[in-house]
Amino acid sequence: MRNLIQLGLMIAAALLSVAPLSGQCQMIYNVSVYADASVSSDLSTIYAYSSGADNSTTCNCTHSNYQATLTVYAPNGSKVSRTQPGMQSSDSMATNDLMGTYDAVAQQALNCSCFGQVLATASVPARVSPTVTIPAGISYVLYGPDAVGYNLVQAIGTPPGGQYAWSVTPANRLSFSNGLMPGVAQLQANTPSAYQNDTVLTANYTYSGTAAVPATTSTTVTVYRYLTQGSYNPISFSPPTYGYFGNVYYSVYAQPGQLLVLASGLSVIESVSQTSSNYSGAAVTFQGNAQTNSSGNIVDYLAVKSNNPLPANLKIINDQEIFVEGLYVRDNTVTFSNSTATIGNNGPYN
Amino acid sequence: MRPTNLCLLSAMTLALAMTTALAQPATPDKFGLMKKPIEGLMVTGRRTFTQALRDGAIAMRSHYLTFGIELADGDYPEERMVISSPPPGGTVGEFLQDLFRQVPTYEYEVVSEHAVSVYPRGAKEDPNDILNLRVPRFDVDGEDAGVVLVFPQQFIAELRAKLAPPTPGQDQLFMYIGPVSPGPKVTLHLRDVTVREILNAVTVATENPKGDGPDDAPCSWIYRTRTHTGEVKPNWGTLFSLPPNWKELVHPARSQQ
Repeated sequence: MRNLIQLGLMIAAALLSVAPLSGQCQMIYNVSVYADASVSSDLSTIYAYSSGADNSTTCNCTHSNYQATLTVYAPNGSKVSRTQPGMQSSDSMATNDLMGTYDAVAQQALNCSCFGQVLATASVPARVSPTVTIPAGISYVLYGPDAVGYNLVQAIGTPPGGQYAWSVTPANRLSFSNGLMPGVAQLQANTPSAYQNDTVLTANYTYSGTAAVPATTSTTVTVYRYLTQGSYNPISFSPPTYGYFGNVYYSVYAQPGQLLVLASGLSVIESVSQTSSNYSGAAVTFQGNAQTNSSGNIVDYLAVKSNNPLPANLKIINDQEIFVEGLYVRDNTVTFSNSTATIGNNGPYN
Repeated sequence: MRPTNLCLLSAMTLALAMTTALAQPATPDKFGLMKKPIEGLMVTGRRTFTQALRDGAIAMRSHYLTFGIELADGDYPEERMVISSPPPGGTVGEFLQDLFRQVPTYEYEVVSEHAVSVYPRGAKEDPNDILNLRVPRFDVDGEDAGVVLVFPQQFIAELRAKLAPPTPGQDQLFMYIGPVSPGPKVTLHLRDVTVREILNAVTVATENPKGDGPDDAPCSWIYRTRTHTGEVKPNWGTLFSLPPNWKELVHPARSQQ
């Protein structure tokens, strides 16, 4: 079933009265005509209708030969017209993507045996303009170049084939680049939101020179702010290798909104510096880098390995800073003993 | 047409032919990977070289792509930029050729059904390239692939000795600190191989994980000669280059259950 847009209803009535002679019936014309028009949801067709009514007081006259004529005029002057016997008519007109105001003109005609042809006319405009919607919206925008693939938002313009343009308020909050598909924008976060949903994305759509009423959606531009940490349960190497290894899982949170970030592939780098050591030999630190895993976690590997038994009183303290997409999210004091590593959280905490 | 214009046209045609040839895989694609489609929506525009490689892989839907990437010195932390503008419905081959036309100092080859090895042109023949360090044997049994790829020096004694030469009479203790993507557990026994071959073998070994954990995603690796602060220090990392439906691709039988 076609979804029609109700555009309007115009009623016109022809009311005429003829002065009666004394003591005679008074002739009153009361002929009404209704015009209505709607536009199909894909903007391809104008549907127009007319309906008439004759409630005249006819006295000794008779009304006959009712004819309903409906004419639809396009903005460029072209028209379609249809005349049907009786009091109703309908017609349709293909828009052929011509935007603008169409007019549906209804005319009701009848013959009066006393006074000849009587006409009543009504018209109604039907505005055909493109539309645009943002069906899904985007509840938050993640920071960083590796997150761009998550920051996609789509607008759908009707009829298809027009030009899209996105804008944002506040203007410096994020930047756009067009995606592979028309209407899809890639969002790159620039500055974080002050509070949730404080950023408004607007999709503008123009088709054949006619602009649609813009569509808007609210979003939150987040930045990674802190981590929550799982436990570290090391596994010992087997002699002749000494030491231990294990992973610590971290969850990434962004603000505002304390958003638990579940995005994989975000860049994770660390800066590690040795604060103190009581190891008499050469303590060498190797660092690596990775990205958030398939669950969106940071998995941090901590291992100590030697070809000699670790001293019982081993104590090597490191300062470890963790960054997600270049944003500082955590400072740890990592202390290696001969059997485990302890992690002191120096924040940030929220 | 004037001779000058003819010469210019000939030179342009030759240049185009050369860049097209340079953008082809360095060795024949025995696995048909270049013909695999990229079906999804891909990030476009100005991207770093490694981001663009990832973007293409993430946009796949019926196949997946992993990488072993060696970045040239000077290409990190200031990575070279490319313009990613993939053709709709393109193939892996078209995507890679478009990228490598923009970075002709790099080349690549297909090393498995899923893995592509990327390296600076001539790097595989450079005796000073640490990835060409040859080791007589490499054995790992049930190790997390991601840990091997991020900290290969923990598993390759010759590499560790190269990076941190021992001092006679002095004990050594090694700390490994950093993020990893654990990936599937891998078991490998290789003989007379280079570090590059080891890393590629680990990546290929992650293609058919036997585990069923959340961390059994196939792993890509990346090697850099500098840290993010610009310090000259060889270091390794992993890349997550899988499409959102990677579990269906890696475990198709389980996904249908």
